[in-house]
Amino acid sequence: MTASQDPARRTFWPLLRQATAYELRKQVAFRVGFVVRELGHGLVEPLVMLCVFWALYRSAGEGAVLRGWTFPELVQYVAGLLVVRKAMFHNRALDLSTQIFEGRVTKYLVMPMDYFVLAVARFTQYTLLQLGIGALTWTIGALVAPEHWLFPVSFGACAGALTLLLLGSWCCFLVYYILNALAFWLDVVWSLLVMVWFVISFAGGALLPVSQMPPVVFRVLEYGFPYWTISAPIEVLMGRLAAADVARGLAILAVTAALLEAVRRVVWRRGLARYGGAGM
Amino acid sequence: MSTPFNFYVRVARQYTRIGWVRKSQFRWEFVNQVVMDCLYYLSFLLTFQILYGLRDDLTLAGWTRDDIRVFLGMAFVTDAFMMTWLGQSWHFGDDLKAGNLDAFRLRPGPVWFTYSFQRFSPEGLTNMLVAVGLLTYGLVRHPAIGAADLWLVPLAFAVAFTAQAALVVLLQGLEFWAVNADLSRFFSQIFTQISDRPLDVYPRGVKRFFIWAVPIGALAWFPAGVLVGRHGALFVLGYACLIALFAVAAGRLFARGMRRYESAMS
Repeated sequence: MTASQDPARRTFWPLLRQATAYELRKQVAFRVGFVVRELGHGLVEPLVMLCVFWALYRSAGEGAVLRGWTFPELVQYVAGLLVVRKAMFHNRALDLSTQIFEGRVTKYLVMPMDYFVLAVARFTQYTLLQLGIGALTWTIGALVAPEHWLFPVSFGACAGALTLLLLGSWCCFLVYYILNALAFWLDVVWSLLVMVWFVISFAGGALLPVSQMPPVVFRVLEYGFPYWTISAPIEVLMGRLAAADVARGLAILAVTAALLEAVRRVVWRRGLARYGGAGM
Repeated sequence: MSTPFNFYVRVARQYTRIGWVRKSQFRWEFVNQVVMDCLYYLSFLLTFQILYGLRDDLTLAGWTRDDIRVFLGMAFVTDAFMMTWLGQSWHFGDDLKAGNLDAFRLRPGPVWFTYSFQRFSPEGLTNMLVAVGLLTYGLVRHPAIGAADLWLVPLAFAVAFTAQAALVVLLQGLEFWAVNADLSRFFSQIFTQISDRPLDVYPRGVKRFFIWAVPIGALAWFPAGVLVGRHGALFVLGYACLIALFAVAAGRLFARGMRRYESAMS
């Protein structure tokens, strides 16, 4: 049989061309996916919020102060929000409930290790990546619009804000871990996760600064970890909160984290006792 | 050969029946999803309540507190339509990768419809009742809206629902060119965030882009504007026609994308 008659040889080049184009397309698509999922995450909502405030302050008149906030201060707040929202742990990084629902946790349970370590690794990866992207976002903003951008008032404020953010993000992670583990009982917990995100983002100040809410609402929300995770770190960077406030926030976050850790252990232990191992 | 309208009705009826059966397996999830959307509505209502409460004379680019009630009601109704009928779009990227569209290619009907509308959601329908209730409250409280204006409600709904379905189909269609990019889910979230506020709050160029180029203004800004009388008759007529054309274009783009479909795409 000659080379021209061998089907494998005849189709080699066309197939190679097609398969190469396919692989290239796949890789480019993965890159697009990375840009969309990781770089684009959390960028739009703060900008939408800025536009709403812009319209509101225009109607209030030049130099208006609405419940202690001027428009330039709100611009700085939104700049901070762009970074904080990125670095704060998001449920999309955890797929524990799906693993429980489909029975895929089983393979980890027979391994000589604590499953929680894998989830912590996910938290670490997410935080490192998003802090890097957040730093990039902050740098671009500082270069493009330095007159409006948020610059930390001091190194101490920066350290305090970062500590609050990381500890608050850990609390978010524990909350999501517990909610995911509820899949042992509820099978599907997707809507619970979204629901909690609505509450965290509203109570934390992702829609408007918590200190701009009515005083009675503020007094309640300042005892919750979302406030110390989103709104407070930005206000620390702006110099609106002092070192004593940071210490108070750290205390609230530490107590919250300890409580959540205790709940996580109980939920995981009891959930495993119910776990059938086969999934749905 | 065009598909008879009766076909869409029959398929939608079957999807509705299957949706009820599916949801009866996860009753707790049903309750959770209803509560989840109510919390979503509440977070918006509270935010705007707080913003307008900062001072008595404030408006949002000309939208008064009464106008905003109607706007939010309309935004919730459109969102509930999306949740009721178009929930499968959240999984389009994964289905495309896994080759799950094969079965839809074999069915006797347009794939954009049989795929996009397959996941009827009873909890979405429940939230639609809540959203319609909020919209009704907004209409009743609005001083400039009377019983004579109620004929505009079906028009507002028709434009909003058509635009929502067309947008979903368009974004799904784009995924054929960028498999694994999660474009439809990402842009769907972004467009929802943008369209949940009146487009007048954005800079002029952005506003024009979202009215004419990617008409997400039709989801809430346009229908709410129709109800509170912010748009002229000529604009209303012209924009309704534009949305119809946009829907046709989205369907064509999806059909072109289907020709690129390779079963398991990555």
